[in-house]
Amino acid sequence: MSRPARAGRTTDTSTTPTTSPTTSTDGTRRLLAGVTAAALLLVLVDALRPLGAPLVVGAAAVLSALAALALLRRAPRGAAAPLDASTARTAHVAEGAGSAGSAHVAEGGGGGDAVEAEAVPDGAPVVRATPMTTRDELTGLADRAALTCALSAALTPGEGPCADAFPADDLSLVALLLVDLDAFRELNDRFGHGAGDVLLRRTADRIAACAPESALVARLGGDEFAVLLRGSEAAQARRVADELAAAISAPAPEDGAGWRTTASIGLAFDDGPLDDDEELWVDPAQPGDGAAEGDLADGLDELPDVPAAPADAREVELTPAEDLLRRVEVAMYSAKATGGGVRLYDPAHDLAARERALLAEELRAALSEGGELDRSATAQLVVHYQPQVEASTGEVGGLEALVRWRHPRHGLVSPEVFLEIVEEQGLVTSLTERVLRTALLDARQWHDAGHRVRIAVNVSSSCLTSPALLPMVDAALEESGVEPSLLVVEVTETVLMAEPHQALATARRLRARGVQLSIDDYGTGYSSLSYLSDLPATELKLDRAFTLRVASDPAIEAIVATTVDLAHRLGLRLVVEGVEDEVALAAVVAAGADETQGYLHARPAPAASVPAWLAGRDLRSSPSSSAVTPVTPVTPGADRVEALVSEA
Amino acid sequence: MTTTASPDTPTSVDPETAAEVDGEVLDAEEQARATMAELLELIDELAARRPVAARVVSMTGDDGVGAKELAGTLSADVALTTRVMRRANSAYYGLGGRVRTVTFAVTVVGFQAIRAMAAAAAAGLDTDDVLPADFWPRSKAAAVASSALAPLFRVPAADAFCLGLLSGLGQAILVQHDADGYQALLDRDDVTTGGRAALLDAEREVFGLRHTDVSAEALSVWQFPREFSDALARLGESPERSTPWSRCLATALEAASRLVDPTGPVSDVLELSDGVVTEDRLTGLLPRLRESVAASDW
Repeated sequence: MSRPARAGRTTDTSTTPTTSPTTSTDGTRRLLAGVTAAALLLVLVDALRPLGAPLVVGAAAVLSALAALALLRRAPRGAAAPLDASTARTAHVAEGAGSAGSAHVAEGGGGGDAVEAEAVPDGAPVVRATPMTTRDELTGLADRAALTCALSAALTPGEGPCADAFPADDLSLVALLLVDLDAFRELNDRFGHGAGDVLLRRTADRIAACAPESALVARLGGDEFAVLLRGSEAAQARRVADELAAAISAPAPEDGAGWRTTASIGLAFDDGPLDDDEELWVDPAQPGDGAAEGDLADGLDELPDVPAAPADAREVELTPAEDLLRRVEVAMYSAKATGGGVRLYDPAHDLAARERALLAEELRAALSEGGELDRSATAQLVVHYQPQVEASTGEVGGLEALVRWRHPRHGLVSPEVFLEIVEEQGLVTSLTERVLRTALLDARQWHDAGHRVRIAVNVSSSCLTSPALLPMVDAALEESGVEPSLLVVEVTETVLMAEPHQALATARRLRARGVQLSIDDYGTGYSSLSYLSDLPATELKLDRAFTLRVASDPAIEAIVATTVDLAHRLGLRLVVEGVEDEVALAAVVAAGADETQGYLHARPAPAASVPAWLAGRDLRSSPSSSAVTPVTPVTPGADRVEALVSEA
Repeated sequence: MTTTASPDTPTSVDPETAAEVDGEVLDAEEQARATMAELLELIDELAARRPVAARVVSMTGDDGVGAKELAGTLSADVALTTRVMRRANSAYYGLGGRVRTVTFAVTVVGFQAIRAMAAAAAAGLDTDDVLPADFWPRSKAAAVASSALAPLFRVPAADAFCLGLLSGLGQAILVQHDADGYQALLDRDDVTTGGRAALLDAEREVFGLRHTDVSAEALSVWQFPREFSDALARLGESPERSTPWSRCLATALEAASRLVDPTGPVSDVLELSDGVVTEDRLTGLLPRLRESVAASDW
């Protein structure tokens, strides 16, 4: 009756949850037994009620209550036992339940060791009390090891360290939910780890309250929780997932202003047997076939298998538990990638998820390469620069730093993929620090050579609201010796409006240090003019969407001219992005733009290219040049890809 | 009871003036109450034509009824059972094609959703011999959209599904009460161009009540959660009077309307959702909703 390992499925070990049954302990097994005990007793009560056996029902109910009490003392439903193993007790019902007997819960001594089974009459429920050791200390829930053990037992009853949790022939449908809080890292960064812990405990309580009676609820680590369901409760898994999503996002008075907790929830089923002990229903519309509507999948195993993992991934044979954990993780990441909520496992997402997870690991590794800042030509994360050319002189007034990931196998990784992973993995602050330090150290060399150009670094929403930003800026300025007034922090209009108060406070502190502030992608967000006047900005960067149409649309031309006028009246420098041809350049210069940036002048290039630009060479066209250098045609809109980078 | 009327003489009442009925002078409020009572009677009559569905509605409100017992009753209504089985095997629950017994389908779909489906059947919502052809697709679209949008409003998706499905119940009753009169109302210029708000105004003008009032009353009588009838009664209310349920439903109905009738009039979704769903966000969600609705052949 056991499920075999899934031959042919492969995975990269780096993306597989670190859940090996070998890490499970006896305590884990006992925890599982305890978790199931209360449920089994309740099932027994339920089963006997119609038979008119009040005494048995009463005894079983008492046992159930005792088991549950032992299990739930200091912990929510589905949680593991209390911290003190010597007093923690859980119960296990062995096979043979069904007749009246003097079953009882054996209280353990103070030794902390397992209390062995006591002699009971034949056929009576046998209850053992054992200490439990594998629980999550913060929430009181079962931990990853306990979940893995329980999952193995549910999928392969009678085998493994938790073999006695279920009868060996008890194969039933298994569903696993994986819950991951959205933007948890941001909350930690913004409000501190104390607030994060409060949220984790609250989430644990809410999940435990929503989960069905016999579900096993576990915290796997960080902000990740799991709910294991069996049998008819597994059949309700989707509804449980929906309820969890709503419960987790319910407002709480202790939440910070403007903070909204949401979760991404993955759901995957094992292909265990369903309840087919009665007559199969036949769809009248599909006579002769018991299956309903389209037979989307007659079991997940019959769906097309996912393509092989990346070439260098280590091939391993997964146990059923590992495979289900992997699939639910894919579903959860799929939910995360589509904005949260509940997602079911879909084999089509598998390969993409695996590749993405692998890239995330590699990106994390690249960011922590030796712990030192690697500015060499062989570094994976490199900073390229794009010049901002003064309209009046044709000289380079500033340089925008743009990060690139030169992946050892994939080459240049698409900014869309790369930056999404950065956000998803909470690596924004690390990446910003990397770019800031690199750019300022590079800039120092150019300043020393007599070129006092500004250096612009992009800062994302989560970074702008992080308390780490200001110390990071101070340290980078000190390390490089660059004058604060030559550093420009670029933030998008959308970022400013998402967190107006926080953004304003940070912007003022940056300005107090002498650092310049640029409002990037101006014109695409919803910032009000009054807010704009409050911001201590020094520069507006008009979004490329206007540049592309400035020469062909009189309305856009009017907007550009008006924005230039507005910027100048507010004492701001106006930089126009996305200049890709001479016509657009002439139009924005005629409108009064102070500086222009785009492929027309130069593509982003490594630091080695910058000295030539600063010396007035290699710029393909400049606003003030009388003789325009022949321009290599560029793909319209190609410059927009660079913009994606700036959102990091 | 009037079940048919010519388009020129709908069962109408002018809320501004008194109406004379059976020699008694009733004001608009009394007339609305009378109409509502008449409509509730009609619901009973309709339910009598689908006794199994009506019995299922009743059983699902009884805590003592189990899945097997409910499945036993449900199986006697082939049309309703087919819908439940198809729903249980839909991609939404992730068990596509594997649910082959009615008992298991009941477990998968849940009592609340079965109750909603049975109520819809009992009220004749799923029949197309009287109702307009797009009525059931519209109800399904409202259910799917409501379920999908539920997390944004922090309400449980399964319940939101039921609310969406039942939201058109009152309209179905009004149509069956006065098919020609209601069609005449739908054909009015102000209704065809004015969207949902204009329809509700016109219903109040013609029948003395809105179809959402009828839905709310019916759900209350059938003892659905109070949040359901509240949401229906508060549809289109100001943010101070609306509830997360009513905002979710209002947004879902707008989404459903755009799915079923892409060229029809649109309403300001930001206002309907009280700032939760922007136009851009809804636009982004529509393709996914369209897929889900298309996959719903229950």
